[in-house]
Amino acid sequence: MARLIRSVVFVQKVLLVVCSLLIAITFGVVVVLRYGFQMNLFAYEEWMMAAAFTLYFIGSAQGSFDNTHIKADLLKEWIRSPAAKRWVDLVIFSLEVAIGAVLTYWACLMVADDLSRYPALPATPVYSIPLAVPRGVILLGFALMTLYSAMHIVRLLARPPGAVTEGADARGGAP
Amino acid sequence: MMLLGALILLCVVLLIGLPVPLAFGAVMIYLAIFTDTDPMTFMTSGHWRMNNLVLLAIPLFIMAGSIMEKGRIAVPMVYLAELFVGRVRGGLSTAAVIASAIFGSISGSAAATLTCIGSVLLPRLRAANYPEGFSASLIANAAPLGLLIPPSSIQIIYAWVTRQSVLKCFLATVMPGLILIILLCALNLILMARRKEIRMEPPPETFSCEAARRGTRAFPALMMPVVILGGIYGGIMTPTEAAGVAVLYAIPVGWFVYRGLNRKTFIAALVESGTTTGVVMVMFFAVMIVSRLLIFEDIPGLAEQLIFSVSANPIVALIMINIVIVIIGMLMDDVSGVLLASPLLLPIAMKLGVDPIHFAAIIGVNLGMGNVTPPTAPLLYLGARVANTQVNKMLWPTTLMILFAWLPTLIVTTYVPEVSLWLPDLVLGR
Repeated sequence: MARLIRSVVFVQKVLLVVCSLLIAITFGVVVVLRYGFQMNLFAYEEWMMAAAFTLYFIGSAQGSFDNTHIKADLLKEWIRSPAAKRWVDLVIFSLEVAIGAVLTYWACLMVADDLSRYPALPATPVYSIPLAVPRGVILLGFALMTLYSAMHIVRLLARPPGAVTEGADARGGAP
Repeated sequence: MMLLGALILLCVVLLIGLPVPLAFGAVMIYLAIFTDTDPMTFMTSGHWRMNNLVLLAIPLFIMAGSIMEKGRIAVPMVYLAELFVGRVRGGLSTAAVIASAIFGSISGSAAATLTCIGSVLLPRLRAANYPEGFSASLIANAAPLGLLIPPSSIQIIYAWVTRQSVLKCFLATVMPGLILIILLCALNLILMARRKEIRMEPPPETFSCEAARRGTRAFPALMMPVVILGGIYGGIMTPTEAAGVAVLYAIPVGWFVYRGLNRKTFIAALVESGTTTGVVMVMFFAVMIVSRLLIFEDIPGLAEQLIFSVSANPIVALIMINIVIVIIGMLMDDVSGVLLASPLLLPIAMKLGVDPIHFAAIIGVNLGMGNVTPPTAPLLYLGARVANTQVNKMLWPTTLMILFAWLPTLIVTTYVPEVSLWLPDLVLGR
């Protein structure tokens, strides 16, 4: 399991690097073509948006893995007892799993609705990229976010009570 | 009652520490249960709202900020600013404010500004005997200049949500940003003037030679705002294209000129910025869906009734709007704040005769202040982490900065529309 998660995280990082470079280089090429060659990069936004959604949702999954999503964390600022902090973490990660599961289910319905129209899949007008591609990435992103929240619960339960439970502590490495 | 329940739920889940996108996810589930909305439409509406090229400017500016940080592009800017102001008490900290403003004009992000300038300047401030809490607090308070000095990610979002000109929104926050720079520098110089323990930088043997040396070294870094802002306002590039060009410019400058980038740090910068992008954009996705649902439930109408039931006087109503935005800014980050506050409060502000471009500046200053206003204050916590100090050491200086720099800036921005409208009108016409 740990090896599988490490492999998934590696693939996530590769996708983040590739999509980031692709997006930045494309915009550079657009400007160079426009002013250097008086040309337009035709319909680049169609595949660019697929790369963008991959960056957004795989990045978010990576954020869940690293436990770096933006949060207020006020309650834990007030709590002094490590045992109580552990309980709060457990409640938060459980809520993350529950909410993530519902969002994943809704995303699943959206993709299933798209795929149910086969062979007339809704797609982009020029390159015919199916809408199920960016929407599938949304589904994958929410599913991975839920998986990583569940992973944090497992890690928390495996840790002896009283151990440090700060967010940064959860970064890097599978259980 | 149902909407009040949604609001209470949002506050509770945010305060217990649920990540912002999932906190909004909880509100979505609540609304799916208690309203007639079909939850199937949530995801599709989120997808369509985000399927927009303009929004790609946000990840690209995050990427540029991350590459600049790893590429040590901010270092020569700091040395240059230090040369001019480093020989007075409070000079080095003034350099921090000015460097934050310059860096903000490139990165468009408060967090990137804080991390980058903080990691360069905080060790130097500590070595020069500046009070630890004060230094961290000053840089945390100067970091939102990245939201006010263009290009600014939240102004791109505001313009997109409210269908205003991005360029006008960028320019609307320039004067409030300059006022804030002046007030933060003045407050810093007053507070540090009596600190005899502060060590000042010895004067260079020949100022002009040193200025030329440091200026030459900083030149490629200083060209970044010229390329970005010149490209945008020269009509050569859209803000999104300028953000892409900023990334492509930062890579060779960070790699070959300042030598902060190598294969390892470059990949780390892209993974880091990709993760930050994901964190921000999924929050965006969730907040957009909830914001749309709230508009369907006529929350703007209810908010309008509530505000006008207290007073129809524009001055009082604007105070109330400001309080609401500050509370939003205290509870959530700037991106969620602008997404939630703009569609809900702009119609009310317009009924009070506030120009949408003027409102862009009001929201910008408010959310900047919300970022450093306890209890939530994300930049304060980040500042404490970067400075390796405790947040409570930062509270008193931050209170002074809010009272004597942020609040005056906010009051002037809110009640003197010319402060925010003069520059957009001058550059782009009415």
